[in-house]
Amino acid sequence: MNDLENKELKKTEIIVKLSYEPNWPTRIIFIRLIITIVSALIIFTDISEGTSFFRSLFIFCSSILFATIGISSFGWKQKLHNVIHFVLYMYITIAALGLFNLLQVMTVDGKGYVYFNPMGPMPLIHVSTNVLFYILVVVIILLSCIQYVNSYEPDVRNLEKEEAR
Amino acid sequence: MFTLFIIIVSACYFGVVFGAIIKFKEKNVCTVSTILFSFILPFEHFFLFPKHYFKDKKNISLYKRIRIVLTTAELLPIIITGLAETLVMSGYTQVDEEKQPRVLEGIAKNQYDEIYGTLCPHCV
Repeated sequence: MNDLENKELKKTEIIVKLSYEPNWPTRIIFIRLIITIVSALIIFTDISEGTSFFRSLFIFCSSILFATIGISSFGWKQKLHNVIHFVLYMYITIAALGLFNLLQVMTVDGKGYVYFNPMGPMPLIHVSTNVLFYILVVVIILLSCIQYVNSYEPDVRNLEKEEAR
Repeated sequence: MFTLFIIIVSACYFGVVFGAIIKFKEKNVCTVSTILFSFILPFEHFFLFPKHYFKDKKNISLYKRIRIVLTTAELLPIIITGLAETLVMSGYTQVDEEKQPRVLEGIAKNQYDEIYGTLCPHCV
């Protein structure tokens, strides 16, 4: 009788079980982020004139790009990844231009400036390396934070096991 | 250095907010209230809930406090996933859009209570 009464009432109960386990993907993202920012700081401090800055920038940005290019996702996440990849491609292009001596580095009072070769078509454009650094840091942190927030997916098999018990 | 600090903090904040919005969008529960909630979420998760937790338990040492804060940072993806899953399930119960913010608050409080409950034996 009780079963019949319960069926008539048609109650629905939502039970959400959370289980905490050491979350290694999150820890790896944090460690990778710290290492990346520190290496970016090292690259962008004490910039000397020549191609060494562009060489290290090329290696750094291409390594980040190759590490993130395999991430396949859908919808908004994919669009955001595309934007971040575009920024990284831009940095690789800047570094490649520097390697071919089309872009050069100039230091004034300890501050670095990137400018086109005076013999080239756009000799008057100067971009501070600090601006390049800040944009790169924002892009890396955005990418890492989005990966961090979306790093956990509920394991359906565990729930099935619990139900079986 | 101060500019770098500001840039890192603001980028982290917007990264978490965008990540949460993307998560809600993936689960098809992205409404105005969830978007507003994801803007408040970093403050709630990293400041308000640990603050309330430490107010109740004053005998915790500094080392354990640091451990709890670090563990809280690890728990954010689990909490967001739990929130999104619960919202998907509550969609079946046909909650009005006006009542949805209250439901969101209730779910968040319950989840934080449960999580801090599980934290207790391990960390404290």
